[in-house]
Amino acid sequence: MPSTASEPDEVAADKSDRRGHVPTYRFAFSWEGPYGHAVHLVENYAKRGVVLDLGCGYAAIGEVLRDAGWEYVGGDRDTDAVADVASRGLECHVIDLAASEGLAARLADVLEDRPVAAVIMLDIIEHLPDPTAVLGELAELSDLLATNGHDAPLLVTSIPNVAHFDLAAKLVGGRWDVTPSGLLDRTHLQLFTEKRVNSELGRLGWQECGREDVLLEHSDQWFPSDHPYLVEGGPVHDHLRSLRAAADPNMAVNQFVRAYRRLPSPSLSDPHLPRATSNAAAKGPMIDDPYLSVLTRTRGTRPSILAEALTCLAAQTLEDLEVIVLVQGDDSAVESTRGVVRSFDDDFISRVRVEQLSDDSRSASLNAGLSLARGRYVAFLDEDDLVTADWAQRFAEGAARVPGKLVRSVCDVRVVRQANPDEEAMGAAPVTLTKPICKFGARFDPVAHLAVNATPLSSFALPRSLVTELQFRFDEQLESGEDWDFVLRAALVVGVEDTGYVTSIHQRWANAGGMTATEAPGIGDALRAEILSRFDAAPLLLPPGSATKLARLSGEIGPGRSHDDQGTDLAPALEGARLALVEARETLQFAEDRLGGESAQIEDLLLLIDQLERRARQAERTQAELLASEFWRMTAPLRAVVTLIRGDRRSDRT
Amino acid sequence: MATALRVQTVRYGGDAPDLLRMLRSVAAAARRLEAKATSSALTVAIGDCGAPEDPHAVLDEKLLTEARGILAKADLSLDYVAFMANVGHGAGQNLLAKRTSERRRPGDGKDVLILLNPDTYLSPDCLATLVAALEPESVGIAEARQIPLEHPKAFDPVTGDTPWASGCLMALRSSVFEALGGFDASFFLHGDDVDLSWRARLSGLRVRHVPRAAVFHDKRPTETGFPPPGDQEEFQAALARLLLAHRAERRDVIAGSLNWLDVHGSAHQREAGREFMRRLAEGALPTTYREALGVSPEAVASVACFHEGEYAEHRF
Repeated sequence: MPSTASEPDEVAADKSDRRGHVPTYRFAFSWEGPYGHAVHLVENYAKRGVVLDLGCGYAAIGEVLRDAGWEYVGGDRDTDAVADVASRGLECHVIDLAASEGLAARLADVLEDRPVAAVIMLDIIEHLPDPTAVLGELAELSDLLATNGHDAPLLVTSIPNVAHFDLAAKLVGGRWDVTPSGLLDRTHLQLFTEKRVNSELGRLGWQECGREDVLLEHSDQWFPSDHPYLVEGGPVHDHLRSLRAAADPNMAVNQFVRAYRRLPSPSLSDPHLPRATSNAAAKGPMIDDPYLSVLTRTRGTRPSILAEALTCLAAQTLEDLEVIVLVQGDDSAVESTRGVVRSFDDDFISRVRVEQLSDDSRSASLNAGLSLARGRYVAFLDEDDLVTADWAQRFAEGAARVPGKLVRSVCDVRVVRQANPDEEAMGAAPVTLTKPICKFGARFDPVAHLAVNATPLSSFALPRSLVTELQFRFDEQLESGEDWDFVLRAALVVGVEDTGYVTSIHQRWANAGGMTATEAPGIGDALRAEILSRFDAAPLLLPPGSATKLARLSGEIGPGRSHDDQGTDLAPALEGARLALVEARETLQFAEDRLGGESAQIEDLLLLIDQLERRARQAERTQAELLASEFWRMTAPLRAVVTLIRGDRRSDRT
Repeated sequence: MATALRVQTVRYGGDAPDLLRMLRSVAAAARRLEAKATSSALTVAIGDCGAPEDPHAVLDEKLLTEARGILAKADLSLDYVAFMANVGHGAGQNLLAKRTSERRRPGDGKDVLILLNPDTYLSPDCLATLVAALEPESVGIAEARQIPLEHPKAFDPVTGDTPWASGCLMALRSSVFEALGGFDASFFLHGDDVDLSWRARLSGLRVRHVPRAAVFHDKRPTETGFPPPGDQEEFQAALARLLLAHRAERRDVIAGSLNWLDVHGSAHQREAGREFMRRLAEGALPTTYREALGVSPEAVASVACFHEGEYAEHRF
């Protein structure tokens, strides 16, 4: 029974063996445990012949295998155990795995040229001083058997998972409970996660062919059961679990029970020769990997628009970047895109890759890009958007300050429209209707982000470690708002480093003709509810400063803010209102054109917009009068010009 | 007929990698020119004004070698001139243009000058589109569209006609540049492009904005949308306004500007006002458009626009 926090920690004390030598356990056979799982693997994957059970102890598995028709041969260094096994009519030899040198030859002697179906090592490898040497000897044995005309044997191992959730959660709390047996058996010399299991076996040429891991929701380390981080439904417990669930599927694995076979391959002739693991990405960035990967989505149908986005990228002051152009289209779209890329300078071309996407949904295309990216950081620039020359550099500066955080700059919005056919000078160029409007705050506010996204796709760079370590992806279930969901999830894990610079301009197309698949449809109430319900499903970890924000939202306490704060809140609101007015005016004029200017209602509405615009300017002036901060004094001359001009404009109209 | 092309830029400080990037874009854009001339007729000229800290801090040989290598790939040659003094943008461009006309041989065909800021990157089709926009001959100057911050001045979306062309990237025939006498060197940095454009229009030529020719200009927006001017920029911009108003004989604009500078201007802007008055007293101001071009006051009034502190109506 697991103890509780109020009891003394008896389990951790080892009374059975004080001489420091490894005791031989007498575990009973169970089909639910690693023995039963190992027998399944042998039955499913091994051919007929000897099953060699190394480190067999009292051979709990011996009779089961013999009764199932296998020729059982045990091996252990404990002479008492070997005698016990032999007395039960099973073949057993004294074999010390700790003395690994010449092990393959010794085993070959024991086997006397019999065919070997499987070599099994159940909960043994973690006790070895040099597991690599033993696995290498077994690889040699496998090759030797093959040379002598036998089939290569199956290797079945059971290895405890030191990254089981119970153990990991307690370690976060500073607790590490070594026990007489179990996951943290005091005699374990080696600790394994799945990554180490794969790497130790993989580099010796053992290729996994089957697995039947032992799963325990509550391991032997699930004690004390009222440890604060083990409380089910507790925010910390649940948060740790949700992070871990994303990172790998092994949090409930007690033992990795897996079967391997060594493939006869000339490159593996020397089992001691380390070989490159296939999982190079897990090692982190290579020396020649770029600092930043830029993902650019295109339909391949508007080459001149794409060329402008690429021009912005070619002009970046940070040159240590790769650009991956993701084409959501057919072969001709890809060819057209390649043509655009080829028209650039050779130096830039060498940093651009063009990739065709098979699944062109919004999230899937972004995820495909994440898989292709090699940079330490990843940023996004869709073909509709434009960036300044310091866009990438500001990301790099932010990342250098706090490596691993999401880096965020400010994205301005401007409204453009597609040219009418009679506007001959325009070609495919967009007609710009507004100056860049600063809609989004210079600082990331996670609480405000729960209501609305103020970090468009082109305004952040994410550390690729989120992808490699936590398998972060855009949610492919979401039809839209996947960037919002992604930024918020990432921000709540690694936090956000604001650069404070405006480095990107998002172009909003006023007329529907300009709408593209890469442009997000509006976030409707249903979608907002959908995204919020996802965040409701798990605990939220908010950064420092959130308590006061939340308390203010409750309405129980007043704002208590400075004029400065009010000003920064007012400015985006005013700009937002102006943006809406410009859009409304554009839409109305569009409608008016179509109706041939016959509708008096439209004229009334245009007049109304005029009035609203005047009111917005008035509000701006009132706001300026409110603010007497240092900033406002310093920028007085600049504002004077603006006021002067506005004054002129007003008197013109009245 | 072949088009001889000369791309001219005047450098004053700035990072070497930025300059090389610009040259790479010029080389790539030159490859896209439809009617490609012989290699000797494609030139990039760099006039070097040194750097703010030292007019003698000119480009070193290593950088020039790299620059030549980049241009050679597109059969472009480099014509590099170290002025050893900060002569200013307009005067620098004039000096560079003069070197072309001296070298030109009869029968070289249509010569086109591309005047370019060094803090730019050309989109691949930019040069070809701009050069093509110089047809018909009534078009005196063709101007590229700047990204990511588009210049807000008005233009006709059908014809592209615009009140003035920005010196960030403009194309014009050498013959036009010569006939206009190049830039007026009394403008040091700002307003020389407005002045050149107005003189072109007063001479009956069109100035055309070419939206399809995109050029990246390294301008960085602030939260208020426009990059804040530097000290030198404030001075030059204020002085340019006074000089333009003087040439257009707009005493009201001069008086209004001087008054505004006194009340609201920064130290640098007020200094510009004093500089203007000094030149006025010394008789060192440029001649008026009427005098210089022999045009009517009505013609000047129709071209010289002083609208809300700008030289054209703005679209946003």
